[in-house]
Amino acid sequence: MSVSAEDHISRGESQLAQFAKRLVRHKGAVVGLCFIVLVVLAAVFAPLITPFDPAAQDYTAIRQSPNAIHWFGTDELGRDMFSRIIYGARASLLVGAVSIAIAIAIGVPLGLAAGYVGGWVDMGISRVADAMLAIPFLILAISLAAFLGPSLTNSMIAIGVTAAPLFVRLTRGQVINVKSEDYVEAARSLGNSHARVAFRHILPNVLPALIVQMTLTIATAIISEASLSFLGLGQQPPAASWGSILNTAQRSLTTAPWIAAWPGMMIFLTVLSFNLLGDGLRDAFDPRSR
Amino acid sequence: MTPLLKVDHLSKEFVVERTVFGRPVKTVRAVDDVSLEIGKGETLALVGESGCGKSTLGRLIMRLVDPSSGTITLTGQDITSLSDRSLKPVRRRVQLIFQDPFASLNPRMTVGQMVAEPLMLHDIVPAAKRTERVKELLQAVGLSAQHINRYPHEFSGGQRQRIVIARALAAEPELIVCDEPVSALDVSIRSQVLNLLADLQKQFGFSYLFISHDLSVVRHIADRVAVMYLGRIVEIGATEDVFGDPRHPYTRALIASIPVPNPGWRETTRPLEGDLPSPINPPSGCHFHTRCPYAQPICTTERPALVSSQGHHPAACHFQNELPAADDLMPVEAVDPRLSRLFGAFQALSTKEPAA
Amino acid sequence: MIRMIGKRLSEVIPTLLILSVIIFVLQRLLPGDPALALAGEDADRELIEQIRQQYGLNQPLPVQYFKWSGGILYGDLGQSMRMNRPVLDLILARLPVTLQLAVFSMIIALAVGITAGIIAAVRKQSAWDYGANLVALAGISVPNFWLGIMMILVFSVMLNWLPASGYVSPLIDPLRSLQSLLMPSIVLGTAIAGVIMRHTRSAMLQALESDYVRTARAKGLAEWVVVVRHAMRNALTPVITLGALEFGNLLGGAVLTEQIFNIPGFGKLIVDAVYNRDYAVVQGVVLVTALIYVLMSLLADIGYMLANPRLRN
Repeated sequence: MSVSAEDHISRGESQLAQFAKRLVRHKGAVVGLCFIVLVVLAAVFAPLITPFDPAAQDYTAIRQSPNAIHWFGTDELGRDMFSRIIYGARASLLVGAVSIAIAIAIGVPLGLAAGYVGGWVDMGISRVADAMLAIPFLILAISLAAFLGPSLTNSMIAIGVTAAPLFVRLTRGQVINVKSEDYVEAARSLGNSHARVAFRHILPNVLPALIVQMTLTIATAIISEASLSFLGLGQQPPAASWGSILNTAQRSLTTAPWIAAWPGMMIFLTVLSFNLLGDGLRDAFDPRSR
Repeated sequence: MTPLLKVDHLSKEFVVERTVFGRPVKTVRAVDDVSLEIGKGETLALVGESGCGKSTLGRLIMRLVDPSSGTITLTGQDITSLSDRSLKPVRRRVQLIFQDPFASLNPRMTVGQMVAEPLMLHDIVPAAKRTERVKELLQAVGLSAQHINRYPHEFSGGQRQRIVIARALAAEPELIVCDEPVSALDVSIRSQVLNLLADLQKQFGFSYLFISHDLSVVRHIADRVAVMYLGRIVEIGATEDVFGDPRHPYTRALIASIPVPNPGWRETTRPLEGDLPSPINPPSGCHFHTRCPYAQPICTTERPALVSSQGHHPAACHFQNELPAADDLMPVEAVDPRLSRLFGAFQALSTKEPAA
Repeated sequence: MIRMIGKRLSEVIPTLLILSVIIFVLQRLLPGDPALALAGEDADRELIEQIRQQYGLNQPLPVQYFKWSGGILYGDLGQSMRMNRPVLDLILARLPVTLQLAVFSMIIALAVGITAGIIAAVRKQSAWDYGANLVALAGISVPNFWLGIMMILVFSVMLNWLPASGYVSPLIDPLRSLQSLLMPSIVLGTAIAGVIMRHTRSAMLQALESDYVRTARAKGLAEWVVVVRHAMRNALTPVITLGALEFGNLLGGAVLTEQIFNIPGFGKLIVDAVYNRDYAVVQGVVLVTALIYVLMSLLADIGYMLANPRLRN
């Protein structure tokens, strides 16, 4: 027993270690991951880090360019930009995480059903997914957000629902690939129920592709949130999100360009990090792809 | 005595092409009115060229594919149209060994998880004793108990096939369908696995349906042989009868094409000419008439029944009594003394394959 | 070949039907009363009721759907409540502007993306390759509205080279039209250029490692002949297909780009309609963009079949 337990640990680690090694070799992915961790930590510990209340207005310090007190400068109401950017990270990351959770909760079970059951179930689910994918992502998200009413919560729902068909299509395709494998037939012949075959035998083999897609879709979700908030359909003032800061910044572009520079830079770097990480994960899961 | 497995007039049609509205346009009769029986502890081999429907027949018997017509009976119980739920106890009794051991093991499950699965699904061994049982099973197929926590990709083809066998054994089956179990393996490994299968049968007393295109393997392992051509059984009988006195020209051609390392052997029957006809549009009458050297006009119009004639084993040929004698077709006893020695040596080794 | 196109067409029809149901249902079942929005918050009941009558909003949903979808077949996308004009007229008036922007962006994206992708593939794992990859990923990651704002800041506010906003029709003044669309086209094309570069690169790498390219090299052909005549011809088909599919994304991105640069395309139309709860216009724009996407993917598939002799039968 002890022999096999040790054997298991060392072997299990070596598989994970191989994966980690491949990921680490991808320098971009490492940089991306570090930046994401940094932003997440900053967002979580925002009250401890920020020197000012993000909503506190100070009419003695309006549109100050970056300086020793206000590291990122101040906006048209004298609010500290650094604090607003950190609090804005909360909104952006929250939307990214929640909308992806919604998209996966809707998309993966439906994709699994479509791919595994096939026939009319597949026809029905795939047609709806195709139809939704025909509408440009942002246009669908905007119309959904508009009709749900402008708020951060509704923009999460809008983005989540818009992204769901991406996961339907990916899961369906992967499941169809895996389904024809002998080991799935073997699982059936052993007496596994359909549900157990789908969740225990097929889903784990689809997981790597899902993780990659998830990482890349978080990037899309963050850009979409910024776009919605920029149009006034997401985060509502005075609360900050990177997109809503950009919205107001546009008005003082000539007098205080830094107000627009910081949030855009943060969106850019965060999205870039998720894309880098997604690329790295894809290569690490499938060493042949490059 | 009721046979373990009885298959009656079983057919399966696949739809190859549909109209836009889902109506079938073309169908293939992969299995065409097949009847056979397998007794307890018996090995029935199913032979034929690839594409003749033998694998489909295996999957029909496994109930992985639903038949179009006919019945499948397991020790008197009709299992042809059992629901998923009532099929579960049947699944335990019939197990499947696949051709490709690289594809039939889930890459994300450990050996232990896979072998333990039937134990869990059918509640064969209580949870606390499962690890112990899995180790016993691994040892029974010549693997080490230490392999229990490894993943399939760490094993060679032969070892993987042993894992597949252990998984099948775990269910304590009465019938194992082996679908070309050794054809994907290196030649050097084949006889080890074959001998393992034979030993396990001796030990546990289950039956095999042994699907293969390789007649030299079949001859080595089967009690009875059924020969399939384009979905139909054309000849069936005891191994020594089918090989010693083949009653169907197709069987003769197959036997003649076995490569035998015996320079003294004379070639009396020409090997098969022409390609296997398309199963979508099979020849009329006797499917084999397009390639048969003895074909007569009747063969193109009338399907020959699978009947025994003059006390011989059943064959589906209008002229089974008129074919020239087949004494010279193949030497009755094997072959090359060196090869027999080699088989013997492997037999001694077969339960212990060195660990990788 | 014709049968395959026919089959593909027969798949498009149910997609379009479902699309129309989705567009209709989503916007009718979600909260917000259009009659109330049109009449104003404190309008009296009678006025609201009158508006409901006038626009058929008091009929059962299936009836509303069939009236609406039946109208579409005759090119009737309904009436804009705010602007009191047929939706189709509004869209047709804006469509040329957006299409012009989208086509410019696509040209830029294809030119930059394909060139960079080929260079990266040919100089695999060189500084060029890594640089191009990083720039491509940056292009995909940058929010295009922010890029637009920054470009306005640099090229209009600071350098005063290009107009910050507005649109001039090419029929009025081709040169100023080009000037007004230069920055928006770059902004909109950036992300697509990144996507195209990455696909070109991987398609080219695959082609360059193939047997037919090895054969071409073995024949002693010059490297550029191998790259251009043998590898590129095979690698670029999927890339062009991808370009057609990305056209839909361009229309989505155009919404924000038009907002930033104040271009009167239909991206701006949908944003204004969203603010005004002008349902019919939103539905119309969503439907037309989806229709364009479906059409482009159909063309892409047919083009792919034509370019690929193996798929012709």
